[in-house]
Amino acid sequence: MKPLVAFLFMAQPSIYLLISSIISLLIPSSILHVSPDFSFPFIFFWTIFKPEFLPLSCLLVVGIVSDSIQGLPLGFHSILFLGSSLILLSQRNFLYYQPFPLIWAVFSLSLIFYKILEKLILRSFMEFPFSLANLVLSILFTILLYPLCAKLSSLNLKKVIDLS
Amino acid sequence: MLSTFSNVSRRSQAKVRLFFGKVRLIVFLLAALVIFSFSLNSENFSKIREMIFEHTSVITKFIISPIHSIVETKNWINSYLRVHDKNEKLEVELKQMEEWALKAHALALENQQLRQLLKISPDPHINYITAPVLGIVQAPYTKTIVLGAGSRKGIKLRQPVVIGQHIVGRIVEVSEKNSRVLLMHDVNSHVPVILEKSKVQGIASGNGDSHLIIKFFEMEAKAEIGELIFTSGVGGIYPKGYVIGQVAYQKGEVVGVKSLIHLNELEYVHVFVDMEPPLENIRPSRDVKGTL
Repeated sequence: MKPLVAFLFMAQPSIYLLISSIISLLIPSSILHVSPDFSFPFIFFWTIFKPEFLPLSCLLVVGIVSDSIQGLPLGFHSILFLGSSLILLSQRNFLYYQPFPLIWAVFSLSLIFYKILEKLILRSFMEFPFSLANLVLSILFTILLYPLCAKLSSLNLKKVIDLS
Repeated sequence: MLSTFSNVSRRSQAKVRLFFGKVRLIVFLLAALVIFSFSLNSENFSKIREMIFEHTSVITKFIISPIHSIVETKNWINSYLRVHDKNEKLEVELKQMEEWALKAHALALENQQLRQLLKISPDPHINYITAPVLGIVQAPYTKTIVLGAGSRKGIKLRQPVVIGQHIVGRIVEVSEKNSRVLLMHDVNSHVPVILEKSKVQGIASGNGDSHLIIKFFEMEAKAEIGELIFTSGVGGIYPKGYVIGQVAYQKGEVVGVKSLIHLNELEYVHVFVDMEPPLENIRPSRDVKGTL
């Protein structure tokens, strides 16, 4: 029983990512364009604090599953997830011991780059009307969402560290 | 001395681990780039894409079904609460419909006689299948529906999908048991249309929100609010004379069209399986089986 519980706790970051990447399907279409990005906060948190529990294979597979569900070219989300993870990993040593407000500020900056990268890749294969207001609102809502995701993930992180 | 050596060793081990971690990350990123590139351009990749789609459509159904149930319950309660008002309204509509049916019958006869006089060849019979809607996927960048019927039932890429006299979209992805319909609300959907009264032609496409917008072929084209928009049949993908929606607004040259389909209430749709729409109407890089 104990190994199963341990496995479930360790798999939680991957489960969070899978749920967060497809949760946008449940949002009403009228507010979809200003809805927050649910995946990036989890990628950010786990890449900084415990990248071993959000394996690269998981980022690749969850990205592909998310693309297939949404009808996007396969690999689109995987590139975003892995690309942002690569950039964050290089800042990991600096961010690990920083207070929460600073981490939140870095998260906000990283999110802007993440969203710009998303729009650039999107432009390479489909035409999509760009709205700066929608983008700004979506970024703001994601920034506001981060403390909640970080709290949820840190509770899980404590359990994971205890179990490992 | 020994502890200093051990610290240096641990630090170098950590550096090596970090280096290999980054190398692995770059390898995975390259793999994702290759998959993305193949997914966009390669015909051989369509089989893999189909296989993944076959499995993920189960997840789509699982995610969407609770919403579908909630909407169904809400509609049922609303309908139950307004049953008296609805009955009165329907009685009035029925009388109007009876008059319309007589007029339509007379017009159909006249139309048939005129066609015979002009020796116009009859419209080809369009064969369709009815497919269940597994889920409506309204993601930030795509608006599609997943159907519970695929190539086994004769569904092919680009075939038009309708409900009654209304256009829903066209098939953009097919696997054995499932298929994906690109809704006409999607920004990548372009439907040739004609205005009901002025007969001005244009292209209707999604605008990222609930309305469609029309770009006319003629400059300074005017549309009346409430006017119906039909498919023009130009291009050969969509059959002629199906309803696209109703004009909701006109701001300068931009005409906003409100679709008359209630997406959340869609349970079944018709796919015109006999139609073989021409390839040149979609972008050349994505005309392979199993992809957009």
